[in-house]
Amino acid sequence: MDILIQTIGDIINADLGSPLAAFIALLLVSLAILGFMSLTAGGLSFIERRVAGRMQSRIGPNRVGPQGILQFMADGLKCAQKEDLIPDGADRLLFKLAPVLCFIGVFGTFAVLPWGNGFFASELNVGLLYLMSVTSLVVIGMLMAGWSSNNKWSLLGGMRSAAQMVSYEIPVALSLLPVILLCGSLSFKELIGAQGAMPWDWNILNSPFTFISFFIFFLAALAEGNRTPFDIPEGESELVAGYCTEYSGLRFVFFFFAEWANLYVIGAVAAAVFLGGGHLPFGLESDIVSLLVFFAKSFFMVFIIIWLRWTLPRFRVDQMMTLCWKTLIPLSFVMLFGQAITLLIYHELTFLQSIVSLVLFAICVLVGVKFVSRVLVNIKEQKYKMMHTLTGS
Amino acid sequence: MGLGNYFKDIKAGLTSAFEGMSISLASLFVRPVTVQYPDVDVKSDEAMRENYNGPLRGMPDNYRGLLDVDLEICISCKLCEKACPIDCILIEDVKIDKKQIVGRNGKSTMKMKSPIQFDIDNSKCMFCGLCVDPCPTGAIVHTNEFEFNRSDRSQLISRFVKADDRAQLKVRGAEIAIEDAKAKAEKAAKKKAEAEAKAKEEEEASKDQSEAKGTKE
Amino acid sequence: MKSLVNHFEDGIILTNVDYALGLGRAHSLWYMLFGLACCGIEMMQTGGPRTDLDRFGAVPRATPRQSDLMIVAGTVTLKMAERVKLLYGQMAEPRYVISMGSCSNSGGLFQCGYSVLNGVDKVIPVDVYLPGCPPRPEALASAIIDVQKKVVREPHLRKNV
Ligand code: SF4
Ligand code: SF4
Repeated sequence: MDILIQTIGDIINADLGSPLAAFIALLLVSLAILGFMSLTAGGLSFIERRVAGRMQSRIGPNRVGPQGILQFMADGLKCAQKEDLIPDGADRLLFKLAPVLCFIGVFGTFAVLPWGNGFFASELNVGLLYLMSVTSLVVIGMLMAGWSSNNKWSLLGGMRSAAQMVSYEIPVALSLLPVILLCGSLSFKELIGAQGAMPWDWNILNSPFTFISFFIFFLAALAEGNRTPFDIPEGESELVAGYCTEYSGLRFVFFFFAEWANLYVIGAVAAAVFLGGGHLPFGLESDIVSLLVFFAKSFFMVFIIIWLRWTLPRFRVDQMMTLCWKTLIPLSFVMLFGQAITLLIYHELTFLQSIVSLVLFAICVLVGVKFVSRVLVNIKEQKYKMMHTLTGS
Repeated sequence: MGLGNYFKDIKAGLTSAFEGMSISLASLFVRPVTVQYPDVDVKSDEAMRENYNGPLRGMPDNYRGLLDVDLEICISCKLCEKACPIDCILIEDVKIDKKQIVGRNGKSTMKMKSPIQFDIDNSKCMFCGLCVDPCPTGAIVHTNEFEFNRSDRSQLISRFVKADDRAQLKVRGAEIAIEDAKAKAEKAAKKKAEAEAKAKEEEEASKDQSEAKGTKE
Repeated sequence: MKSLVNHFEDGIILTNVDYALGLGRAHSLWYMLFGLACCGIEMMQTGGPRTDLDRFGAVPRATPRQSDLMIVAGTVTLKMAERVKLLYGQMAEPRYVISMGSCSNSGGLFQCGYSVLNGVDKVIPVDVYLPGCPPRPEALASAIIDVQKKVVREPHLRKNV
């Protein structure tokens, strides 16, 4: 049963056998998750704006609260006071339903997301499958929003996002298959349990095929979450603001929430499935520590997503579709078969696995060192430019 | 061909993404160039030097900001009014007691008139500086002021002559006008008298001549 | 909310709530990506690194529905005036307008042109006029600060409808 629900049940000292108490406990859990989700979404929007600012040599919001940390509160308050516009000729019911569907699509995933190694809101044995299916609601929400707005830009944006998300769901699912093959389970608990504490025990370094699968998953998840470089559904230069062009005030906040919370979901899934969950080596592991480690990993992934967004330009529609259907999908099939064969080989030659993992780890470290050295060179260069080529006025 | 290009593309994509990511990460460790405007005085070099150790400096001397007029040395020649391509300067003037003034360029001039109304409409002005060039005394200049937001358009007009001064100048101007008129009238009277006297003389002279002629005959 | 409006006396609680709401509105002025002429270039510059409008919580939004602040940046031609009015009408309340630069203040240099509107205040209400041709980025930042001051003072719950 659900650990969280039980702990809360203990606290309120009620018998979970009674339906009312169970209902209250469930309500409390969902409220807690909702609170967490809102805080994450708000905080992430602030973090992204600050990081984006620094990457563009600006500062970013720094006037509301200490260092601008309450910026998202101001945004929320503002949006709550905005007039709630429903365009003339819009399909009122669908227009109102769409943001809620998007929100539910993302909020639903939090039910099965792991919180560290031991915590789950509900431990489903088909957690991964549930997660992928519930995110499909977002597509419907966006298409609905685009259709019901009675606006050509919205409609185009909605169509684009539907096409994009439906296509990219395939590589996401396919790239998760090698790992599922490896661990033999769809439940997050077992996926995390099958991995070890050290990096070479993680699923990502199991074989070259899982390694590449991770990158496919990451790219495809970015595209599914409508993040740059794949954010053409809301490309400002072509489609005013995509499917949410006609939304104002709180309804827009729902989309906004869904987008930022989705960032965290991508990070958390990557951390749980590929990056070893909340394990810590040297016997340091405990429930709380695993929670922190897990958060650290997910937020690191989120940081990479933000970082990518402010580095890479946007794809063109046809390029994006080409990437999906001609590159990622065939590649992920290759990875699936490759992983299946690798598993057979590992079965015969058990020592091979640790060698492959260590070699992969070494490669990662080498690339990392190269990267750090490039960053250092660039820092020097940029500092030099700052000092010498900037004119005063 | 096809497959070679395919892998070449992948390689190019990966390496350029690698380099791009390293550049954007590097900028996290470099000081942003943002000048925190209301907190830092963007006009002065000192403030910029203090707050930013790069080559950032304050605003240049020849920055064309809001116009300012030094009414002490304005001789109300209206050259600026004529020079302005969009008629945003409006000058009305009266005569004042003559005085010697020294212009910004060091030349001394006699000031005979002074404006009682000197309005510059900042809602039209394009800060081109065409009015600054012809001014003989350098009375009208650009400052480096740029904050002049108003919530009403009519308040955008900067009126340089204060109401008190205007009243005073007007009064004095009227007196001077009366004096001038008096002086003029006196002058005219004098002239008339002189002219009359001359005419008389001439008449007498001609009489004398005719008399002389008569006596000759 | 509509039914509550005008049913309150000015109480201390309401004033404080209003103030908090005003702070929220003031520090999240999303401006519309909307440049008409050369002032538009200066507006982009203001969003750029040197003067960074994001510090004040102002980010550009592409759609009028989600933007609170319209910066009329540039010459408003008669043809564009219709669009300006339309875009203003599409913005959701509460909305604010900055008229940036001489051209939108009064037609400026082009005021005698046959195709130029002499002042954008002829079609939409303006909150802050900003002189300059074009105003430098810091001047636009100062205009935004002025709008923020105005917004904080403005009652939201006690407004007169
Ligand atoms: S700066 Fe140019 S537009 Fe402004 S008052 Fe002088 S001449 Fe006229
Ligand atoms: S040109 Fe100079 S002196 Fe002449 S009216 Fe203008 S400001 Fe005064």
